[in-house]
Amino acid sequence: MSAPLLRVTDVVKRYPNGVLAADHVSFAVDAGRTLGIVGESGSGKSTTARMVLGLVVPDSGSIVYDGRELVGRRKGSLRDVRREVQVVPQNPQTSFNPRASIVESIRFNARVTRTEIGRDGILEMLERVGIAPGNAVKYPHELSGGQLQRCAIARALVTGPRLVVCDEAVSALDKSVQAQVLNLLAEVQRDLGVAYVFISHDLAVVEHIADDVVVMSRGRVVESGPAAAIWADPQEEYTRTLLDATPEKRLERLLVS
Amino acid sequence: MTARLEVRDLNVSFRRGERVISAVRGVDLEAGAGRTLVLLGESGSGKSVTANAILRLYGRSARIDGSVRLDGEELLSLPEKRMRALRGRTVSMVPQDPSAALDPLRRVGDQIVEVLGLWGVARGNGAARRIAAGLLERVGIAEPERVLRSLPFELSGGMRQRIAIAIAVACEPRLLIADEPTTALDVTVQAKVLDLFAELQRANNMSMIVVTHDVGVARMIGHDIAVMYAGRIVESGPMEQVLSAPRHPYTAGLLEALPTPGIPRGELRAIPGRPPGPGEAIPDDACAFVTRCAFAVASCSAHRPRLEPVGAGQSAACDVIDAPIATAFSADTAVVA
Repeated sequence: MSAPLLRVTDVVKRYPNGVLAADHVSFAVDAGRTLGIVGESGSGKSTTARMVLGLVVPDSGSIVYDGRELVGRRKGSLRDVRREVQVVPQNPQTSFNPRASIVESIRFNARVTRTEIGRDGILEMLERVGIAPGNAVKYPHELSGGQLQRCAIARALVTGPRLVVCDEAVSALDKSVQAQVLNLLAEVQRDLGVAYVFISHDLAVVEHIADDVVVMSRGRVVESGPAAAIWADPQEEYTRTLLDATPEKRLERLLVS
Repeated sequence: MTARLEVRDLNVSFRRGERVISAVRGVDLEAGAGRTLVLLGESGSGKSVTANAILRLYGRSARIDGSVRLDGEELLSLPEKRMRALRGRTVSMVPQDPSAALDPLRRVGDQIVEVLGLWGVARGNGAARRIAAGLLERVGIAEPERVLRSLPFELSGGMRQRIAIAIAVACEPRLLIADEPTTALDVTVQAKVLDLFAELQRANNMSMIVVTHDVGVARMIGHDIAVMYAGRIVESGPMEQVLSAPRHPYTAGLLEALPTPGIPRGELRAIPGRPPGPGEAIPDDACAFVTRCAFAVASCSAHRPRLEPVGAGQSAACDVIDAPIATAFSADTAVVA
């Protein structure tokens, strides 16, 4: 079997206030696949995402992307990796510069990653995620949450990434719009072969989108494996508690009893 | 039996400079004793404005018309002084974000004691503290004395929400309104808080109105449901009946859009377009859902359908659909019937 696109091994991060946000976290993501990370607040899932993105430096451990070790590299030397590892953040309203048009914001992301793409290329990418050229020149406050999240996906895709970290990327959206964006992410993966690290507290969404799942609690990986297997037969007590607490599961139990 | 809360033709609009924004338009609601009514809707649907208007929480910028009766008493024409006496005692509210509802710089105990004093529940600090401790115990807090001495930031989100609930039920209100009470909570904590609401309701026989965007939460806690879209109720009725046999395309579309086991990736049945944003003009002589609706016909753009009875206790505002719409939920809930 070929090496995974991303391999995180025994990563530890303790914040200055003593909180151990990542306690020997390990997982791998294969090219073109989706790894879901689920957990409650304080589980360390966002810290883990930030370490993969190079925004938080781990105390120890190893993060190997496409054969390149990221831990211990100087910030400036990460540019080639930043082009290939992009992010779709949770809140589209705050992730765009309010004083720049959508096209300008996306062009900025291309420039800092030294990606060669012109205005036409950007408009083409926006069109492919469902944003008409007329909306591309608008400012963030003129667009809805769903439209902005499509723009955020386009902003990530213009650099030609092979891995996109989606950090609660659909959590702020209305359910009827959330389905559109989840479908778009699936379509992009099918067509471009990008891999996702998909972080969410919404278990139903992760069950739908992920191939593999990592369950985190208090900075540790409690359980990991294929999504279908974890939902069908969770091995750990914590995973069971988490899955059983969703309204859907609780109702199922009420009906059976 | 008359309903404990009866809302008739509620209209709420806000003045923003020269413009008037109509947030709630012609809403009718009922919530009986010991029953929970869920207001389900997406952002901008008017569900929170409806809940707040029942308590008359808006200032002069809002215009509230219609009728809100609690056990027969009209609330909308009550003098503000009398309304203030009702709030917290007879009609109480649990906020979405308990952190914003609690003073970050004062100990939890002092805050509860202050409220109890304002409501005339307890005179004297000693008595009030004993009552406060009892309230915390009632909402399932194991070490009430320690929590009373704590500052809000020292407690978890679930604990803070329990405290907000304890304050809300201190006077055994007849009606409790909760706006997204579990949205800020982790799923395991959410489950416990929903159980707590049900338990308190059984003990007090209080009516509840719960505002949520989450179908799962709605189903766990509600007896009845009113689905809101663009400021109006588009469908209402008994919870399981509406969810298993929806008669409005929006209700059905919302259920179909949820990720459900068995739907292949990338094939979620999304509703095209988006819900109208706040302040967006919605024509009054057409169905507000027409541009997103899979069932729309020409007349939908020329005439606004009224909320009409379609079955036992169920009403829907659609002139096209005349039979239940099958969704992934229909098969699921068939087990119940």
